[in-house]
Amino acid sequence: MIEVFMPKAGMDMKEGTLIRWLKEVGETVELDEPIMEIETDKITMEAESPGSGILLSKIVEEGSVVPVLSVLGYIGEAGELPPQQTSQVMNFANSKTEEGEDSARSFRDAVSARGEAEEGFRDAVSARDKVVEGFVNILSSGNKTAENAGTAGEYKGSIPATPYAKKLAREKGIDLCDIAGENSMNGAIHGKDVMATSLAKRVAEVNQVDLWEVAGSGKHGKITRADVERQMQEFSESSQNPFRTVESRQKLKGVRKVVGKRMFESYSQVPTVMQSMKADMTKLLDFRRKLNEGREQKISLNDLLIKATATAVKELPHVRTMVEGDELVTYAEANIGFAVAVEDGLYVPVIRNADQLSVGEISRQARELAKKAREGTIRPDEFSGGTFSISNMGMFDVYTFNPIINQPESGILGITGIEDVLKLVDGQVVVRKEAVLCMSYDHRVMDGVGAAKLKKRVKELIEHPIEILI
Amino acid sequence: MRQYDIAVIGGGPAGYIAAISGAQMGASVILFEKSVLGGTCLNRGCIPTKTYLKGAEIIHHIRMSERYGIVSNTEYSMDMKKAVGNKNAVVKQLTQGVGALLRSNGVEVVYGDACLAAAESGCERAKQVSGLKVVVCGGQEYVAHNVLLCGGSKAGRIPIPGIDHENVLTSDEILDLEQLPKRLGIIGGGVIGCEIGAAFSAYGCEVTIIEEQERILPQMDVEISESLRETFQRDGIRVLTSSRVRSIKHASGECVLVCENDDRITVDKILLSIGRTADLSCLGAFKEQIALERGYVHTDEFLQTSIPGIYAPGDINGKSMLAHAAFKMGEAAAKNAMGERISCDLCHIPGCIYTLPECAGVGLTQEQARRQMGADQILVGRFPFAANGRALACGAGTGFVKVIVGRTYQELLGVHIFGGMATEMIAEAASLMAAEVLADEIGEMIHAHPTFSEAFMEACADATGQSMHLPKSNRSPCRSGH
Repeated sequence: MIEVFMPKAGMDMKEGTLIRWLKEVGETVELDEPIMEIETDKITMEAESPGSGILLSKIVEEGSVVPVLSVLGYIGEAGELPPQQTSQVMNFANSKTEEGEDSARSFRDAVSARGEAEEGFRDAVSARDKVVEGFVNILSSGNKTAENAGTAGEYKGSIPATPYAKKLAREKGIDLCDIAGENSMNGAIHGKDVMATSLAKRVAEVNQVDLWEVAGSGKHGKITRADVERQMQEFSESSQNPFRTVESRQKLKGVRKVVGKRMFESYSQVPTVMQSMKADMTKLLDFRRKLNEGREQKISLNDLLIKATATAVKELPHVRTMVEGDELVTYAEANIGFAVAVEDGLYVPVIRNADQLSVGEISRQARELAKKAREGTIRPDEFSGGTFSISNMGMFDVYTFNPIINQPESGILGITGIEDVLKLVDGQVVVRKEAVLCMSYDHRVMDGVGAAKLKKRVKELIEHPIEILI
Repeated sequence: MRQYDIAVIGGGPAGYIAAISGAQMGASVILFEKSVLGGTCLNRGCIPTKTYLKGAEIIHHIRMSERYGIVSNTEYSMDMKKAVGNKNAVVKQLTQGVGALLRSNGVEVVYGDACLAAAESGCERAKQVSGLKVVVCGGQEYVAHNVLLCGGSKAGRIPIPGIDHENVLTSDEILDLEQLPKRLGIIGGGVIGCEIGAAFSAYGCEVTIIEEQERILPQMDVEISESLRETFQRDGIRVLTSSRVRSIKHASGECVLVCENDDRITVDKILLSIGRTADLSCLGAFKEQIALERGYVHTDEFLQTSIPGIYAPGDINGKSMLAHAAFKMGEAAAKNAMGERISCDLCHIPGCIYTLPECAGVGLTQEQARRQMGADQILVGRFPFAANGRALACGAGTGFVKVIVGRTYQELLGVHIFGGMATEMIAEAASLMAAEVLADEIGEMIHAHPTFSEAFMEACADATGQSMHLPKSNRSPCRSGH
């Protein structure tokens, strides 16, 4: 199969416009026969076919501006299927989808709404399906990639960057506005200098202004210092309200930024259902007290809950299952993440194979991981690879809450504070200690019954704690 | 009667650029010029003085030639007729060039004194169509939708006894002197006074500069003023500062400048160079209607006067009395007359003084920066030409480059150069400032070696603590602006 690409017609040509195709999909083309008309910043010209065969697909729409050497279509033998070109698809998606259209459906709609684009795909229906599938995969499997599709490169076309810089940003999955906020010197991506002056970038950096928000007034829309300062001025004016005054303002960054982003993604992308169940904690508390008699390192309630949850998770494969692309993938281990609050955010360290560990070992690991998280020395591999998570809010007397799933896991189990309640047991009013198990689950993976089964099992273990040790 | 889109009064830098700019936008343009195209700059200012200062430079080289092992008769004398002739030839070539540019852009040029006329007195058409303006020139009326008042400026005068005398010249006349005065007194130590003083001193004239303020070149950074004063004194130019001329006594061909402190300086000719004032003659019938400000025509950021459709770019508005500022203003005014809304940014206008050594500056002086931002908010970097290879090879080791940098962003606030090829070097500084390139970046940019321009890079590096060509002890201490 032969790639039809944007030729580099001249040393300084960085990008070109595909004016129109001179061949239809399915037509035969000969080597060196004009196949399309292109335009550089200097001339309009016909570009020859790089080989002989049948034009199998056009993956770039007429009128698109693409970097030189980008693949525009494929030539091959009749019946041959063009390859799945994800980077090209991303490129295409970037230029075609509007902000917010991040689902496969809207991508399909966007494609079909554009006759010319569709034409390119219709002629190779199976190829198109692969292409769309590829896009769906990308969107749903890696949030990171999907996010790049949304923001990297020329997503917001009004901010100029050299084609080379955009291309590089797209390839590396770099968000151009992140680059802009950084110190502009010694950067690998020289093209970034085009979008804002060095001074504008530094003023933005010092004053924590997002350059994406700034309209450039300079030549070719370049952002100048005055533009950044105008934005700062407008922002401070717009946030002025007679009834509230700004006490402090800080850039969303570090752990807080990551947590916020992940939570937002989970909250907005996963069909989450909340389900609660009461659990009698009396025996567990009693059990813990006995366990801790004479122990130097006390076992915490959380340690026991990790163990109980791990046992249940190991027993119930559907809980260890996650959506990956168009597949449900079940992982073998009961790797339990537990939420640890740190000063400016949240970590979820993971205890691997917690079902197989003794409570004492879980306790030791949990203590160490929590310490590392608080000290900021935790390593990425210590908070990845989880298959299910818990979030214990008991020490804060929380009565009920709605935890957000730690993606891509299928659910998260929240545990509330313990309350003394009066209960009828065998006709007798007794005082029991009660907590609520608040579970959020991904409805794509399991239904209400599946979620209830997990809680039911955890509840059993809590109410018959001796089983936790088995 | 023909209606023009734009009528331009005055063919100086603001006027001729405005006319070309308007014509390039498709406007029908008529330009009125009362004498010779090119204005003060080409005919009586920047260009003529540069020919004289080139002469001074050649003399300087003659004097230096011995050091370079050149054995020749270093005696010289001035033939002022030839100097004037050379100057006139240069001026003629340039002003003819302006004429050719206007012609090629289809601008109609009418010679004669022109000014605005009241619309009521104008033709029937102007009365009917509101907004039309009328310009009279040589008794004839011209109608235009927009008028650009590019009347420029004229030499300022002071009302002291004896000022109106044939031996008291302005820059308009002194450049046509075919006989060198033996002694020249200069009232006003600004750019014109210093440049003409430097040239005439080199020619062999005894020059005395009397400046009212406490330093010559008061608009430049104080270090430049002080350095130039030292050079002048070394070269035999007498500089009196904080000194005001009270009267001029004329007797038997001599002039005596009487200062307020009773200093008396006897000279043969006097140059009056106390600055320039707006030439408002083009306002004509609108003299009362068009708002003025400190004697200049008031304009908004789009260079429009208080009357819509009437613009005033160049010296006449007093924003900046420099030809390159006038170019920029002329272009913006013409575009705005044609419907654009261009705010004329005059932030990074360099100022150049072509003395020997040359002086140049752009942006804030150290003093201005200190006042505006506070001494602890600025960094000052320096590099002496004495440490610059090219400068030493050229026998030009005097002087320095000084950069004023903002502490927070490391942005260039001002650049001041004394010596080297200051007037050429300042272009790099002004360009990089306009492009908002930061001092720490400039310190890392490659500059050819050996060049004077390296000194600018080094000064930036000094300001940001990156200097490698300065001994530790010579680096700017704490680089603070105190």
